[in-house]
Amino acid sequence: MPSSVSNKPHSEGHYARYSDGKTAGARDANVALTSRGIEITLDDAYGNFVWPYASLAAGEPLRDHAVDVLLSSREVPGASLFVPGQSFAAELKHHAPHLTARAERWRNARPWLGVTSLIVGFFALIYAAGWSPIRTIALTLPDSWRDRLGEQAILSMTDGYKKCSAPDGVAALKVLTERLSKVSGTGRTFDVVVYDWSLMNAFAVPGDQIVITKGLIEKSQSADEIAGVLAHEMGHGIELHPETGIIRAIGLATAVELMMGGSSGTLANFGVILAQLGYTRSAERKADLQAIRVLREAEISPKGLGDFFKRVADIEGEREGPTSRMRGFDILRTHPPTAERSELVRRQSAYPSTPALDASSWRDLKAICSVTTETPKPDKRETKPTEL
Amino acid sequence: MHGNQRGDDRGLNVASDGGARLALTFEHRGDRLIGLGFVNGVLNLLTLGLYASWAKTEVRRKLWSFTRINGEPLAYTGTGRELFLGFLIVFFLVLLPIIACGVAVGLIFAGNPTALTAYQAAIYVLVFLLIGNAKYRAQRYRLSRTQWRGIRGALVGSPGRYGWTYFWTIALPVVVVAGVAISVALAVNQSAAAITLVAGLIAALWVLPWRANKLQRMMTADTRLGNLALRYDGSSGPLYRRYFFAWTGSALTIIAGIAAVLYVVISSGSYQQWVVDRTPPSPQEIAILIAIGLSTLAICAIITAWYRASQVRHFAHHTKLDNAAFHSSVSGRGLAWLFVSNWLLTVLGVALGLSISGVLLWFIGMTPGLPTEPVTLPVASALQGFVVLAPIFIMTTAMSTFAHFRTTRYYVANLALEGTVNLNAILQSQVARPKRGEGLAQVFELDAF
Ligand SMILES: [Zn+2]
Repeated sequence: MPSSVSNKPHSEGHYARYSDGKTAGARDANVALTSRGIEITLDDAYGNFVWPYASLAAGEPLRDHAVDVLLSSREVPGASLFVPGQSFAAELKHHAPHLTARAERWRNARPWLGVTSLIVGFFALIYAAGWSPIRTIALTLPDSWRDRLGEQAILSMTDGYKKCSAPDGVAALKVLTERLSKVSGTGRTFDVVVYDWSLMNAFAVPGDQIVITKGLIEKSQSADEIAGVLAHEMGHGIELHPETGIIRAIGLATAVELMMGGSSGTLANFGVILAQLGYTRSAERKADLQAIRVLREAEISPKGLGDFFKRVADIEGEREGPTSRMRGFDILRTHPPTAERSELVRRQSAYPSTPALDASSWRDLKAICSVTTETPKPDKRETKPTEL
Repeated sequence: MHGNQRGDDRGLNVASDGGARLALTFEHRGDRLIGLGFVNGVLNLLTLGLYASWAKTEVRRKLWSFTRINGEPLAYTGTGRELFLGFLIVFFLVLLPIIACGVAVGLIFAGNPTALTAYQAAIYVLVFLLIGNAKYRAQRYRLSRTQWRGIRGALVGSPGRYGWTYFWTIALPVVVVAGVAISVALAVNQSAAAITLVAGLIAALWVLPWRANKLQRMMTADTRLGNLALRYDGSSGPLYRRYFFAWTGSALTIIAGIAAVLYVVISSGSYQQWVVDRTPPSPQEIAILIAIGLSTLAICAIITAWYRASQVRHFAHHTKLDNAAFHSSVSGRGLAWLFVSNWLLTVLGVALGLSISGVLLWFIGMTPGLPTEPVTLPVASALQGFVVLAPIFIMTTAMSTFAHFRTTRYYVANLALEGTVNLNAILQSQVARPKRGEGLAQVFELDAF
């Protein structure tokens, strides 16, 4: 190699522009691909030197039809070499395959593909083993936390409605609740409250607590029906559905929060989370199975359960069809389909049963909302919204 | 064009005495990054998004390389690792604490809407305080990773100062308007206060050109190319003539949007149902409200395109480098079309994704369309969800990468440098380079480039 060449392209080399990275100026250079690396020949005192292939980095990954290449080298930090022309780029790819887009992507993505496979494998294993992490968390929640979660859920859902507190009605409800709780297998007595709310509704919240509405009591035709509804809600409680639902909702809200950079505020709006709780079809089926068991052990006929849900489905159908506004509340969700539910009730072998409540207690329960009390609230916000 | 590149460059070589003219071009040679977007979509999907920093880095390396000064490309020297580490740090130092606070506040003050609202407001203010700071840091990182002929860019000012200016120039007018509205509420009534608030906020939009010019001045004056500082000598005065039309148009659009929302909410009786019966709004109602919101924003974006174009031209015109000034020929029609066409590309991405999902579902023997009856087996429903969402994710990533390319191409192709720059006098930047990139901006999804 001549130690000094003109700035005309060398017959075997390629024309290039070399910048030393000290000023924004550039000088002509002649470059050749040798076995040691790229040999760069400048037309002045710098003479010539070699950038080994392994030391190279490209401005953009080398592609198949590149018409020029911008290179830098660890050998000379800051310096850059711009080589126009397709032939150089094509040749360089053979000498420095690590500069191609494919090689770079593979290098960068491979570790993460590994990590992802591990994560997916882990979850597959969990699923295969039938282990539900959310349920495990729900099971380890101390009772005091569950109670507190439940109280907050009730607060945010019944905000603005009064508690029904006619003493005879409360006493009748207590009798029924205890009769069912005794056989629930949780070792705790469920806490059932009625709210002066005309919407037909019932839901279970964490901490073995259940809320039913005046509308629901008005719509039911016997104490057996109320017993059926209570047994169903207790079924959710026994299966820890409210707890797992809240944990799942918090997980989801956290995911939303992560995606929104912590600014969505979904987590702070606990009420919103709780109001969105709904159960899957399989959860409803489990609650029904528990309800059937509880009713049998409490010696109450399961017919009330079937009758009530059938009536709910009819009312639903009359109202607005399947996409009702009443979604989001447990009782008014029609899945599992009423037919399936009736079938489940019908399949039960007969057993000795007595009415859930005697006639006078049932009258008392019907009248539970003749006396109401303001529910204590931490915040005395007026529920009347600002006028629009 | 490319054949005579050498000839063009020769002229530069003599530049030891004075300046050289610099030609800015965007040369993509047929690569519109759709393929890269597709590959990035697949890799992001397969790595659960962990690859995103590397995907973004490769897109930037391409776009920088397409951008040429006298035929020589810019180089983007940032790495995926830097972006990823920056993201991790902000994730653990900012995001997780905010989320933990959210959970704690939610648990402690559940059933206390006032406390929750106050907390949420505080978070919004905090995030807004961080946004300017984040933008500045992102720009600092990108400049420090941008090279031409080995010479780096730099941003030498303080992110805190910029972030604070970014914050108070909006916060102050809003606080003033809120104060006036509260006084009206106390003195007159709530309806008058609501009207005052809306009118006041719309009037407060008049600070925007002044604010944009002020922020641009800060950013430009802090910018270095090597050791050479950019200069900015623009004032906001000339911006206001065009702003008048943009402001009038957007004010009318926003008022129309609010009126439409009120009409929908009140006329359908939904208001009664949401507030009194406490039933959540139905998907149709949510869809209608979202549609109104989005079309209001879209109309505003189109109406303001002419103003935004004049702002870009103004900023460019008043940005000086050595003996040269930038010149932008961005037009309102161009920006409006860019907005509409990029939006259509997103729609196209979703449509393409959905049709691929449909074909895939049909192929593996599942009914296309959303499941009306929940599938009993969780594995089957998870598979169905994946089959539906994966093609949409990949196609929208491809289309948004293409949209990103088109936006960059439009701005760069319409930018020129008039006058001369003494290149041999530009020395390498001695400013320390930030070690990690962009964390904050990435978390808040601020960075367009
Ligand atoms: Zn249920």
